[in-house]
Amino acid sequence: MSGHPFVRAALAATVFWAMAPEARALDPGYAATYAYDTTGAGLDLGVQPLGYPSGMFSSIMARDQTLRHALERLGLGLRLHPYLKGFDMIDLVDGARLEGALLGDMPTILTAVANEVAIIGMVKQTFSSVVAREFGQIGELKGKRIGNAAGSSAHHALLRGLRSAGLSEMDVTLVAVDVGDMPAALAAGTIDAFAAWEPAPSIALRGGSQFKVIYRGVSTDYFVLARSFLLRHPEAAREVIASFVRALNWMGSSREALLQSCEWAMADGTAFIGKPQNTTAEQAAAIVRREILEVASAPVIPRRGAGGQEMLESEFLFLRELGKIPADTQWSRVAASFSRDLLLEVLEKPGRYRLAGFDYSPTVSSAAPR
Amino acid sequence: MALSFGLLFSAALLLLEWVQLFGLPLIGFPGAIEERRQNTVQMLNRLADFKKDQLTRWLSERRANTRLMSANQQVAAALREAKTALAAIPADRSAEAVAKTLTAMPSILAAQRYMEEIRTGYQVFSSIQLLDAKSGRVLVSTPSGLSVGADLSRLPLLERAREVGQREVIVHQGGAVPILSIVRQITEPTPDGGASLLGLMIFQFDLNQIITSSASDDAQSLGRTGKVLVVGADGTALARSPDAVREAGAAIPPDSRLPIGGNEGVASSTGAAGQPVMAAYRYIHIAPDMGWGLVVSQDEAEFLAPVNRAALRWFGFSGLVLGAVLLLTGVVARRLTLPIRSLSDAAQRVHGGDFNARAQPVAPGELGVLVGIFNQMVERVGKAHHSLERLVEDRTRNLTGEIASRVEAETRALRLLTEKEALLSNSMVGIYMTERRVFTVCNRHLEVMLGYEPGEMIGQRADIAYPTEELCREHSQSLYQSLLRKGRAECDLLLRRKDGSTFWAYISGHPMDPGDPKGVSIWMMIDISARKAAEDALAQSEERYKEIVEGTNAVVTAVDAEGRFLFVNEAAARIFGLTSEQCAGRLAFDFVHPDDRLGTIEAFRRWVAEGRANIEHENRQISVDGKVSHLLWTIRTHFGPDGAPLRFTSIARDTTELRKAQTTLRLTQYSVDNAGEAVCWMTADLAILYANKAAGLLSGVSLSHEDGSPLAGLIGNEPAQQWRDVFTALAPGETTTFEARITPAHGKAVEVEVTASKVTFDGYERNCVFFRDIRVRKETEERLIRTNTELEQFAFIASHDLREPLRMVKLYVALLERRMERHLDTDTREFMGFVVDSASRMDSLINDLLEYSRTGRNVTPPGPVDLQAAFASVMTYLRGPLEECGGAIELESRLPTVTGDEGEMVRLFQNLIGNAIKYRSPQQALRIVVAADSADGYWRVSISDNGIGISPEYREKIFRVFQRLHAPGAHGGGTGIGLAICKKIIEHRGGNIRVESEPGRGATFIFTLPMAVPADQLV
Repeated sequence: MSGHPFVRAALAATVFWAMAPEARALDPGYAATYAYDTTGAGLDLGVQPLGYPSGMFSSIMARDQTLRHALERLGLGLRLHPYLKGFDMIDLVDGARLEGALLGDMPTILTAVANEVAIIGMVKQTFSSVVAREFGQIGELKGKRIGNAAGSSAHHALLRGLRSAGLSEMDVTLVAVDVGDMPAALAAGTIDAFAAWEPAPSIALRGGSQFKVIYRGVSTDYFVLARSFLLRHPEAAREVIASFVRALNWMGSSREALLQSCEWAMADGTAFIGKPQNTTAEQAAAIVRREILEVASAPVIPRRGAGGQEMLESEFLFLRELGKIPADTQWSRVAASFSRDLLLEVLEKPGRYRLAGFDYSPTVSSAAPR
Repeated sequence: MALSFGLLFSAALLLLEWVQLFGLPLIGFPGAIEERRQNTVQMLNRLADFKKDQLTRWLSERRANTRLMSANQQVAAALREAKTALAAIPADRSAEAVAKTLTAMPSILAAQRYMEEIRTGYQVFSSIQLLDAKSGRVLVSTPSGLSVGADLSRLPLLERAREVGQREVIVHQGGAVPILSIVRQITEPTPDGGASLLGLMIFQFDLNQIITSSASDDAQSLGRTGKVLVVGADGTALARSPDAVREAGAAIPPDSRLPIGGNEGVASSTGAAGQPVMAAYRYIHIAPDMGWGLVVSQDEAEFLAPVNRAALRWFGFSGLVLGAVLLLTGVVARRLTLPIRSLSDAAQRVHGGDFNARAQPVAPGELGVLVGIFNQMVERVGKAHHSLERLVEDRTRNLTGEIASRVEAETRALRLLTEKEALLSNSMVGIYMTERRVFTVCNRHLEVMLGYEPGEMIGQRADIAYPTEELCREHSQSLYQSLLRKGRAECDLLLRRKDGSTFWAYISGHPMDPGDPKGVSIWMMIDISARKAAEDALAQSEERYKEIVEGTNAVVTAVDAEGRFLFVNEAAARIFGLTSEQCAGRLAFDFVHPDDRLGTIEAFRRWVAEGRANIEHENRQISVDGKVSHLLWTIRTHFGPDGAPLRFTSIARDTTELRKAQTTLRLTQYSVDNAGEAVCWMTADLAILYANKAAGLLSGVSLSHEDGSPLAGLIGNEPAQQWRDVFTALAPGETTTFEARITPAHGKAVEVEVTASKVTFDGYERNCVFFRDIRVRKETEERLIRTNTELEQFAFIASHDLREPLRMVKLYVALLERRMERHLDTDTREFMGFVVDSASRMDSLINDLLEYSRTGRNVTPPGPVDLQAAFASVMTYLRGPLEECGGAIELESRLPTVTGDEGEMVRLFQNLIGNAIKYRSPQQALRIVVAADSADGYWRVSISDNGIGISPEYREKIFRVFQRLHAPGAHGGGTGIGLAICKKIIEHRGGNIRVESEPGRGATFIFTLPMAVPADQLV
């Protein structure tokens, strides 16, 4: 039943309208002109160039000649579509418009609720932060204006933080601000705090000692593929996963490779929003090291029962309790989306999938047509 | 009034304390509690970040270690050989047998040496084991690990560790010794480019090592109640510092749950004992499926303790101040009202007839003059009244005696006269006979009486003896009628002698023929002029007596033998509540107070029985309307011839007010006798008239009232001479206070504070002293001065010694930063920046503290300082900042020359003008005005600006050390010690400093300095 297109559309609409009002008010004009392949010969991936290290993965994959050649052999073309935040992709990862996406934890859950997807690997494991000016505890945010990216993992961290202080969204004023603009908005005083993922918190903290991180919540990013794409093109999916693992291996292979990947990501981000990133490659590299390279066994998704998925499950329950997810939705629906086998298959055959063979072109070879 | 003031003052103090504790959120003043909380939050956050970084780095290093070791070729070779050997050993062989086989293999022994070297070299591993991936048997183990050959194939961990892609698995295990295990895969490449799993290497670590390694540092930062706790996914403690016995099954406290689920932040929570704590919590990623919670907490009671102690000290101080203000207000009020009350009481007593009443003398002043005049007036009125009363009393007594004696004399005279008449009837009485009113016979005595020569009267008409014809006719007619009716006639007549003088005479006669009254009659005449004169005098005397008795305020009564009033004058009637007429006939004892009645009756009976003529008796009288009066009676008993009392005459004085005054006097005397302060009255020659008990105790001399002994015996010769000089210099009515040292009889010198007054009583000059022992106060003052000096020295030395380590901290952090520049990440640079910033700020604080402690410790003697020059000197380096901000400064008048230290005065102007520049208003151009004038022997210098101003509640606070009204970085920063130094400089030079300001209306700092300080008083 849940696999019926009508049901999926209904679930997506429910999830969208259950989110914060400012999310509905935000006109996603930047994505309105994106052209998705509808012929079945294209592989459209949604990426977030402004999020680190998610942006590094997408930038490397966009330049991965090995992947490009492999997909060409399978008759597929790879196209990457940039988004400001994962929430903008929730109802798009249906195999018809986007075949895959790099998403934060909350968008991953919402996407898994709304669509038939497979969560195939971990992109990062880090924190989303609530950064404030002059405040010491999150309880002091009552009545304040907080910059927020609705439906994002940072949004989830903010909700959890507010809950820990006995507050809710009703006690604060959520202001829709693009993640890249949040540090400037905080410095200008148009907002009193913001919730965001890296690099926005690091940029804000460099603005002065009056800016403080008053709460952090664990957040993880995942690589999600549409289940229909997996069924149609399982080998192409493995190649995409191999490219993803290869990117991780390449970034961990040398300092130069890591810095290169950071510069590519920053360039792609600049191209996306039209203004330079307020960070350096060194700073971006530090974020990547901390959030993925130093995470043991990444990108393998932990199995259920070992404590790995419980955190995501508690997030699911929390969102359901807040009404962000329909009340009759069960965790089992999301749990069923975890697909470790595909990644393990790739890892078992490192030679076959050239996990240690790096062939990247300096220019983007997989940009999406506009 | 005093109470209202006290309450208002108390409310103001409490409000001040409330603001100090809880702040004024509307204007951004956080208050001490919030400030303390914020500081603690900051400290906990920094420590938690540091701990997390420490743990993360430790874990990262250990992972790097394990990655390196698991790639060792000796290990891989051992695994390969062991794999072959194990394949040849049956699966059911015992562990000992397997171990025997393995330990005989050179490659296994080489691997074992390598692993043991690693373990002992790094000293961080509890144990290291090498496992065969397939069989799960231990191939190599360090001595502290499992035995070789042991089968671990059923270990759940092994299944995960064997999984493809799980190059590394990390698990932890709680308990008394918490263990962290890192399991790494050891693979070898396969021909198809893949990798084949050879074995697993297990590294184990003691978690407590890393947590407790910095326990002493933690204790320094976190205090007694602070703790650092590492918790697992469910909140149970894995390790903690300081270490404590973990009770199995103990409930997980709320603060340990904070990081569960991957949260980081800081929150107020509850500790294990249910106590409120402030906790910073962090989440440390260990593996995708595992993380640790880190909780750094401190009990609220501990970090708020300084604030609570300060609040307690403040409340105590407020209470003391309040008590002192109330006491002072009470004393001042009493000093004002006591003389007025005394005056009022004395006036009422005088009004009631007590002319001995006097108002209590007070210190010189308007009240003193008023009291003096009043007492003099009462003195005069009292004397006049006393004289009058004595006069009346004497006169009454005289009159009473005179009347009694006159009555007796007259009675005697009458008796004599009667006897004389009897005699005159024979020879000495004028005898004559008339016929038809013509003298026919006259004896010689008659002729003598009328002044005629013998026989001269014969034949003359009787009319010649009458002074006037009218009297002659009147008497002749009267005598005729009497002779006609009664047959005889007698009367007193005023007669005229021959020489025209008149005299009273008594005549008596009868006709020889009763039927012919006009015929021959015989008459007798007696000269009664003397009796008539006595009778007139008696009448006049009685009249005067009555006037006196009725007019006096003294109570006068006469009572008959039965005790009934014969006479009651008006004063007595007023006492009895009736009129004189109403009193007549009533029993006198009915007006005696019931409590005194029986006693009085008994006394009267006794006195009568004893035959006492004059009695003095005092008793209470009661009027018909119940009013009670004390009367002192003087009673005279009049006895009859038989010795029985005939009547009692009495005079009494109303002593009611006198008795009240006596009671008051006794109370006053008792209070003075037993007062804690020594009191001594002396003559002008300093002979002691009176000294109370305290004076005796202080001097060690037993004294009595009107002792008369010299003052020297009380306080010693030398002090007595000093006091004599003081009294000599005092004018009557003046009072002075001074401190002196007395040497009493017991020989031990005592320091006293003396209040000496000179007054005049009854025309005599009297000296009065109050003196109290001030030894304890003196000792306290000296101790305070000593303590302050020691504190200043301590601050100076401590500040000096503290700066050196700080310089080292900054120096070595800078060196570290330079050397590790290429290796430092952003967080580390940020942390090092915090260290340098904190050290710099602490250096500034200590530097200012040093400056503060130096103030007033100048070794050079003070001298004249031209403030104009000091001002000019300051402006040479403040003119730049002033012009930068577009400000202007105006010197309104020339600044004076004062006594002090030039450096201090420069610092004073630098701080005050510098503050005016720092706290200028962004809305208008800065304008500073400096002016000086003088008043009451002081120079007064003011520095006014049009800056942001200061709220009234902070006018005192800004002069305290390290008190800032703004955020540390605002308005150019600073430590908040500048104004404290200004205050210390000014007060050190005998002046004072204050500020007048309103928010948004600028501020005026005003300081005063003495105009001229004698050289010997220069500090």
